[in-house]
Order: sequence, then structure tokens, then C-alpha cells
Amino acid sequence: MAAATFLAAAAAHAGDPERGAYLAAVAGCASCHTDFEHGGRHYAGGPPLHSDFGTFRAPNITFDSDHGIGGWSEADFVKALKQGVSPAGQPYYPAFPYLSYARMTDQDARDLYAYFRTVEPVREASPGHDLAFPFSVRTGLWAWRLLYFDPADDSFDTASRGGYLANALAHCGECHTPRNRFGALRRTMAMAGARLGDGDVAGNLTPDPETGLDWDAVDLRFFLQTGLTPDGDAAGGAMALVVEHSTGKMTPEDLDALVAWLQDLPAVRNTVKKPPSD
Amino acid sequence: MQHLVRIASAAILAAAVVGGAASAANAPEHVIKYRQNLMKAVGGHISNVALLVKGQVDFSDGLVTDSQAIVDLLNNAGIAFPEGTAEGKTKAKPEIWQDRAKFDAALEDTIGKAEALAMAAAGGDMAAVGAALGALGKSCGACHKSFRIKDE
Repeated sequence: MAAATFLAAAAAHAGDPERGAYLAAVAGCASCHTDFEHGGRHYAGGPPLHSDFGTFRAPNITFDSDHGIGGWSEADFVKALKQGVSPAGQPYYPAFPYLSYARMTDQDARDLYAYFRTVEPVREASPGHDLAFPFSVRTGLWAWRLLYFDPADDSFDTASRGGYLANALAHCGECHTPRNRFGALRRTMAMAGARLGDGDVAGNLTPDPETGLDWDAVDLRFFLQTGLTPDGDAAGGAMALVVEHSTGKMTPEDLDALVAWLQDLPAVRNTVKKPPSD
Repeated sequence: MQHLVRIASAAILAAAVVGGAASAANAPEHVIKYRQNLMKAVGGHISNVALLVKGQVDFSDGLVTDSQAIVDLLNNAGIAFPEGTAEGKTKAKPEIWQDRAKFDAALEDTIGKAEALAMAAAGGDMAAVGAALGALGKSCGACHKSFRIKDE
């Protein structure tokens, strides 16, 4: 009887933790959910994320039952990830990139769950969000979701591996695609660059000759691995974290797929950076 | 007599020019220019090593020179951030001077990574050079993240 229960439980957690570890790296979970700069424990909650709506703090996602996601079932986890709703039925702010994760395969979501179960639980509360009214009221998020969250939306390519990485797992568009004033991604401007709430700039990745990225595939691949631009400069903003925790850990095949996909983007003219002052 | 006067005035003028230059040395805008040149030069040498690592050029004869230049230039970087140069056309963050020990440690880390690159370059194993360059890039990025104002 006990064995049967155990087997049933094992079948319910059929995710592969090793695969999940790689997916967690590619998704860059640590960049937001770990406060590296202040020596924070792994996945115990992130540094402040400044936006036009206020300051978000990515929570503790270790399996601690008081302060983290301990006690979450696999179904809870997959629902949180892909629908942006907590087990208690509360909608998440789209600072958590569930609109991208909604495009994730169920198997990837299950593998991530299996991996996070192996991460050491941390008994530490993470600081909450600090948002301006009316954004501080979560009920408004239901209306927002009605307008902008369509899980069946397939206008962002995820059919190719590169598209899946960019639009789902590694959620590049969450920073590199500009948003409208309600914080929803503008689908006609995919990867055309955006100014972020903390003064950082996410560059225009499309191959527009004047405002986009004119790097060749080799340069782009090398940058995603090392953070070094063709000029020998090193990314220092949020992208440094992305390179360190996500793209720098991608397999050669995934890097190639992502680079090929980016190089294939339609050119969009969109100036995001101020011209250099000297 | 007129000749002597001319010599004397020339001497006074020369003293004024040199003296003026001495008192104006290390004006913040010139220090800022100096360190920007230095950083651009470092970037140029890193770019050259990267061109080789990426297989975009095959001038491996220049590798040792470029790698050593990065070390030499970074060894001069500390003096290019004196007190009083936080204002002006600079992307240097005030944190450099508020937490100088942290800045110095970050720079020291980068110099160490540059030395490792120079060693790998001397050894001639391109896989090792690539790895060392990656580690150097990461160290540059870490310092820029803490101490360089982001692009606007």
C-alpha cells in the first residue's frame, strides 16, 4: 500500500531534475530570484526590479513551506509558471514572465518542478513588492489579463528551437520587446529594443542597419557566451547577468539555434539608445 | 639691451606656460579623457584577441602583444580614478569613491584575469586563450555592473 502510494507519487513527479537544471539555467531563473550582489542564497528571493509601476522583488522559490513554494504540487507549479496564478488563486504581476512561460511545453515545466525540488530550501522571507497605487491592487490584474493574456496566442514564434528559446524559455522579449503603456508587449515590435524601468536599455536585436544589431552570427554567438561585444566592451547591465546565468550556459546547439533565429528577425527601425555624447 | 629684454620676456613667458600647465595638470576633464582613452585601448586589445579566438583573423603573431598590453594598461587604470573626478562627461559611478576598497578589489580581479590571459597567450593553446578571454570578459562586466553608469 505504501509502495503503491510512493509509485503513484513518483509518477506524478515524472519530471527529469537534470534536464530541469539546464532549463532553469537557460530560463535564467537565478538572475531574478537570487540576490547575488548581496550574497543572497540560491533562489531565496531576488534584488529589486525597478519598473514604471514600482519595484518588484522576485520571491523565494525554494521548497520551504513557510517562505517558499514548499507544499506546491506539480500542478500548482505548472499553473503558476504557465498561467501566472498562485495556488491560492492570486494573479501574478507580469514582471514574472508567465506570458512567455505560457508558451513553454508541459514537459519542460515538469522538469523545472523536478529540479526545484532538489534545490536546498531556504527558510527566509523575501521582501515584498513596493508598487504605486493603483498597481498595488492585484484585482486590477484580472482585467489586464483579460486584455493581454491569451494562452492560445501564437503570434510569437515558438515552432523553431531558436524561437522557443527567445519567446518562451529564455524570454528575451520580456526586455527586448517594447511594451505599451499598460505593460503589454507590442507584438509588431518583437525584439526591437526597449528602455527598461531602471534606466537600462535593452538593445534593438533586429538587423535594421541604422538602429539594430549589425553583428554577424559569430559575433553574436561569442557575445552570448562571454558578454564581450565586437568592440571588446563587456556588457555590464542586466545583460551581464543573462550571459552569466543563462546564455553562457547554453549548449552549442541551443546557442546556434538562438543566433540563427535572431539573425532571421525582420528588421524593425527603432532607436532606443541615445547617441554617444562624444 | 633690447636683445636682453627680449630674452627675459621670452623666459618669463616660457615659465608662465610651463607653470600654467603644471598647475592645470590632472584637471578632472583631462583625467576623465585619460581614463576613457585607457579603457578604449583595453577594449581595442580585447577586441583583437577576440577576433583571433572567433577565427575572424589568423594573425596569431599579435596575440602576445595584445594580451600583454591589456595587463599593462589595466595596471595603470587605478591612478586614472583619483578623487574629484566623479563629475562631468563620465560614466564612472560615485560608488567608486564611496567604496574604494571594493573598486580596487574588482580592478585587481580583472588584472588577475588579464594576467591569466597573457599566460595562456604565451602558451599558445587557443582553447585556453578562449577560456581565459571569457573569464576576463566576465570580470570586466562585473566591474562595469557595479561601477559604470548604464548606457542611456
